[in-house]
Amino acid sequence: MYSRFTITAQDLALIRGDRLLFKHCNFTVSSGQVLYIKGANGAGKTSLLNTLTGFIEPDNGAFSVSPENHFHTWLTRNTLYLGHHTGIKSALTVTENLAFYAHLRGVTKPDFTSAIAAVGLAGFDEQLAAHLSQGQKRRIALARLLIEPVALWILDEPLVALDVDGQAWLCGLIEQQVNNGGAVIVTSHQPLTLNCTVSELELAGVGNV
Amino acid sequence: MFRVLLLREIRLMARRKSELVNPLMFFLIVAMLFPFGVSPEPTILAQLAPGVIWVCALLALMLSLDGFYRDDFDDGSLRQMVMSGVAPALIVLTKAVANWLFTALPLIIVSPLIGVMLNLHPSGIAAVALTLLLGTPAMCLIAAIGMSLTVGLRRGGILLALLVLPLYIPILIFGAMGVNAAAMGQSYSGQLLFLAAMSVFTVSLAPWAAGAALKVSLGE
Repeated sequence: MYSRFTITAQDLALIRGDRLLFKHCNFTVSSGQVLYIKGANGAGKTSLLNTLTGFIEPDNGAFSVSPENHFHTWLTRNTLYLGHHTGIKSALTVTENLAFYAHLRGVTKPDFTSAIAAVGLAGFDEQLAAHLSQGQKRRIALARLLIEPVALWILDEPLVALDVDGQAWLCGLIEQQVNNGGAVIVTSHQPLTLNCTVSELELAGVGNV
Repeated sequence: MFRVLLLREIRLMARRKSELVNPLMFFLIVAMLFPFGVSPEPTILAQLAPGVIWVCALLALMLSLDGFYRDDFDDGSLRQMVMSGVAPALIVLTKAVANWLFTALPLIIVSPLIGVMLNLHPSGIAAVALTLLLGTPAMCLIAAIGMSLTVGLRRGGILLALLVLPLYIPILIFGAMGVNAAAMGQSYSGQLLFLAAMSVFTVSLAPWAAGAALKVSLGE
């Protein structure tokens, strides 16, 4: 479904404040793969993702994507990033939140109703997000995964605030994305049960690969 | 893209109307307090009026800034927009346009009323609205640079004022001078042209500076 691609990170190093978070960090992610980034609190998982998405310049190393040339142009066009703050506006309704991002992405004929139903929020379409719980707000953000067809998902702690059913559903969704030729980069403290190839990257403090 | 972003700002503003009224009330109340504090003498008020109106409008505009960026920063919306492929400069430009529409425009509309209240000479009344109309876009865009730089800081309020206020001073001087000149029956086209030049200059350059600053703030 998605055209084939491979992302390569070469010899990354990042210093935040006076702490060296990681150095000599290498990884590749290709279509049909999951990269599971592990590490204790403060190990630099989110910082690594921020570096990948271009919000922080790495102190050493670089990213590349084949077969394209410009990594960041490719990235903004083909990536959906869901972090700790999901960008869901309390003052907008569920549909308005999703429609805004779908418009920015230029999705033609998005099907909001079925995506909202798929994340278990059927009937909440016209509710203000402010009236929903933390877990439900997370589910709105997850509905974007169904609406915006992008090859790479970057999910920072996606299981937080989700109930058991939600976690199983999300794992299924990740498998589906991988089977469609997409790729997923994910961090999580809860175990992920996935029936597909998962490569792991462990961030365990200074000097780790 | 700009239309989508602006529609979102309008929709959000329509859901929190109190923020729309706050700067306007501040403007009206502070301007109204001057006759009590200084002197109700019409000639003295007429002399003070240009400066008072401009300073009040400037402070009212500063009051509104925080809400425009802080919310979107805190809930991750700004980052999501950038990740959806929107240029940071365009985000900043939309914010500045929204800020102008929702904060500056109401101030401009009521400013002749304040002029009348402060016994400004009739020939200065139109000048008040005109100078504000040409000066406020520059103020909104300069504020956008300041906000983009400080939005990642926990308590950036004072720093923002320190960054932005010095840049407001030329606008304030020429704005108030224009109204003064008009009230004395002189031509004030020079001041208007200066304000227009400031606005054109900031509209064309500030979004890029603020966009770069925003990108840095998002990395914090």
